[in-house]
Amino acid sequence: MGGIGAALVLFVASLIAIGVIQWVWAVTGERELTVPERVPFAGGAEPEFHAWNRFHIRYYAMALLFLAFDMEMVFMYPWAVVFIREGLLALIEMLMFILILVVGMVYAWREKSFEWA
Amino acid sequence: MGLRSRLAHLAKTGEVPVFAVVGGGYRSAIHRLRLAEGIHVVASPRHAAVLLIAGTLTETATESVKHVHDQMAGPRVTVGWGHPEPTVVPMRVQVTGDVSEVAAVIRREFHDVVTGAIPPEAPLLPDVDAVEWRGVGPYGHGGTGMTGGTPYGRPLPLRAPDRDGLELDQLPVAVGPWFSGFPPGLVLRVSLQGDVVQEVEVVSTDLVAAGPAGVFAQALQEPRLIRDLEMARARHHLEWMADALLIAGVDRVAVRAERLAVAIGPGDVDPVERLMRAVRRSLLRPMTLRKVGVLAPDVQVTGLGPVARAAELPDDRRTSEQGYRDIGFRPVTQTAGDAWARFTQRAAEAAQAVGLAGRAGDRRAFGNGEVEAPDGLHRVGEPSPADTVISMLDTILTGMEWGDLVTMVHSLDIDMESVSVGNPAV
Amino acid sequence: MTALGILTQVTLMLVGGAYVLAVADRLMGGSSTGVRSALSYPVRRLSFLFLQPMSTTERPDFAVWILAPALLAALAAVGAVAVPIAGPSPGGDIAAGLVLFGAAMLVVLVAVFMFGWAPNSVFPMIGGFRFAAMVLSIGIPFSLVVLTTAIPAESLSVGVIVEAQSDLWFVLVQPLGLVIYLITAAAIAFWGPFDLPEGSDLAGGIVAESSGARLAMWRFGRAALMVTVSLMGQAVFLGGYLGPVLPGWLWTLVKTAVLLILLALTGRTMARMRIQRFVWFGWVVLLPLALVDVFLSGWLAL
Repeated sequence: MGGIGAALVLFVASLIAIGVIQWVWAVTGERELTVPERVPFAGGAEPEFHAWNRFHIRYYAMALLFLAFDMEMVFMYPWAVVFIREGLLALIEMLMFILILVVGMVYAWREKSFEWA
Repeated sequence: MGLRSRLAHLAKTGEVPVFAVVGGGYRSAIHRLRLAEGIHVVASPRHAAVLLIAGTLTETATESVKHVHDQMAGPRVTVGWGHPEPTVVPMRVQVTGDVSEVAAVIRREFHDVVTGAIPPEAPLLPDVDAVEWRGVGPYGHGGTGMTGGTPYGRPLPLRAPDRDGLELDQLPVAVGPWFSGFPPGLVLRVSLQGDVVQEVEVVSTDLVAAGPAGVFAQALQEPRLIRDLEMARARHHLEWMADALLIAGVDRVAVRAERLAVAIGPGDVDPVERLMRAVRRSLLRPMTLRKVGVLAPDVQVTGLGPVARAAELPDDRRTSEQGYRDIGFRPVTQTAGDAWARFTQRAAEAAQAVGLAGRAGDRRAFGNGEVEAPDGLHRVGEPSPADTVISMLDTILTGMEWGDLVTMVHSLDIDMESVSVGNPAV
Repeated sequence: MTALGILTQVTLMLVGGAYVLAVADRLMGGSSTGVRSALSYPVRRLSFLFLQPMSTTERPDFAVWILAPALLAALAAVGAVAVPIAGPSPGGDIAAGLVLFGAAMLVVLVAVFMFGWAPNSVFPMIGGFRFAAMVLSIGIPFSLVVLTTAIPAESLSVGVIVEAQSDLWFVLVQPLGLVIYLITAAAIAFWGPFDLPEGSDLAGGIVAESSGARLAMWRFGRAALMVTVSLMGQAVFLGGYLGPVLPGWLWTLVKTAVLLILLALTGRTMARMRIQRFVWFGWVVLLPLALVDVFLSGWLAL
């Protein structure tokens, strides 16, 4: 039982505690809501459709770019720990890796992947 | 009940979350209500305990007001302010007094409904499904096949091509009339693909009845004191700025603008400039407004007052008035034509207006059937600036991201009370 | 320290911090309430929310709607465990605390998205999808600047990082790191000026359909998240529990409160950034700056 164990206990305990509070308040509520009380709010007008839809994520190119950089983050965690031991070599290696990724970012910027309307 | 009464004891003197339905003649009054102690005007009825119906509404508004009433989570109570028609929606109390009186009534009603001294209001609309769906279809949920029918009462969104030629889901949704990002009474039916608006349609414009004629409406018929006209203009612009700041989430500076709109007097140019410095420090320009809402060059903005002048069109009827020429009036303009230019334009006009009011003495202006109002040029028998804006909303809003659309709509300052297009009441 | 001890400590920290944040936010809001009424505001507000019934919509995803606030608070709690509060704690300190914290903070995206998706309503849904764009844009600079503090400490353990600041707080070596950290942390906690998923242009966005206990729990989760990011910020940049005269835990509290109040102030006085500008800002401004911070700090550490 170290710190990670405590983290796990806390995670589960918080999930249960806050879930139960809401559940208790939901079941002790005074009455079932009527149909109009459950109409989703959009300013007072009645919705025609369910809001759930296959949302057009126009920033998907940016999301792909995130994947590339996120993989780089995975390498950087161990890299940061051994950085001082490995010295200048580690700095130059990571710099090269990152610069290649940054080229990707600049390309995405030029292609207007960061704006969608 | 022990816990309930203890919670009620703590909550009863707390801040009252109010959802405001603003009818004719009460837009300005709501600004003053925001400053009232213990009142918090909220954007969603789910957060509210008090429904405030201020000013006059038409019969068309009934359905939507009942909807927001029922959407309030409760314990809920309805308060009327001014002379709203009791036929629109039943009200527990109706107040005709000033803001301090209505604030006191709201706090009292909240106190009573929270403690259980008065029963929370029952829903107004009948408890029936909008569409018959229970028991329909293979699983009794109203659906047929993958996306057909009306599962759980509503169909699933339509599909439509996007601008790249792909077939994608498109969600048509009517927003308004009491959505806090729009002028009260405006209902837009937007078709959303993701957060981008593919189509816009103005659904209804006749929910808010015109309030009593203000100083600008009076100036159509007879000359009025320039001092009164310009102070009203300054107040209008400051309230508009407060709304813009609220939409942009700069609550602290918005409160300053609201206070200034109440306290400002003729000649008070400095406070307006100090406010503008606070606005600049809030980074409103780079974060939110810059390059948003630039109108295409072929859009006719003549007669739209600050919107036109923010796009370098020195179009202002005050230049042809002797009274204004005497005190050295010259229209101010901006060059960029974006939402920030409209903001600075209104700030500059507010500062200019208090300056003019300070110099005007007892000079009068207008009275010839034409008035340069804060939202543009009003002419007897001609469409109002709001009419012009409403008629072009569908083209200028198409293709915008939702947040930018809200910024854009607000930056055009649409006064729904002066809309006559599709409005039999006017 | 035992698991029970850590549990108590973190719970107290998050609840206390949430209270401080609520009061500070109230005072920064601009309405003319005095300090006294601001001090009682969180209690009155919470009492009202617990009196209010929980509204639902026609066809929500109930399980997800209940789970989202719970997940938000649980993630905040997990992030907070990684930070030693009172002093060096050989048993309780997590060896890869920075990794745990970074992971927990990025999963906030899931909690917020769930909360936006569940009610089956248009404004919450747009809010949820906006937040996805936000986290994808600033996730990398956020992780980078936190990671940079591990370079001179040669460890991913927050306890070791704090100890490495016994001569010099890292904010003096990496001031740019703290600035980027505060910006991105405010965005991850969807706090102003980056409260885009809850924006007023969406009538409250992800919370537009929520009331009562659900809203109270969501508000608590968000406040707990703010406490966690402030707690981590003071540990890796401001020397954590290190400081003269006062006991270590008090230094932690003071420094966390300072960061919380700073964030409360900027939240109410700055304009909300529009989403497309935010995405551009994350990638084109923050990411290169964070990389400069990493390599500059690396160079200095050699």
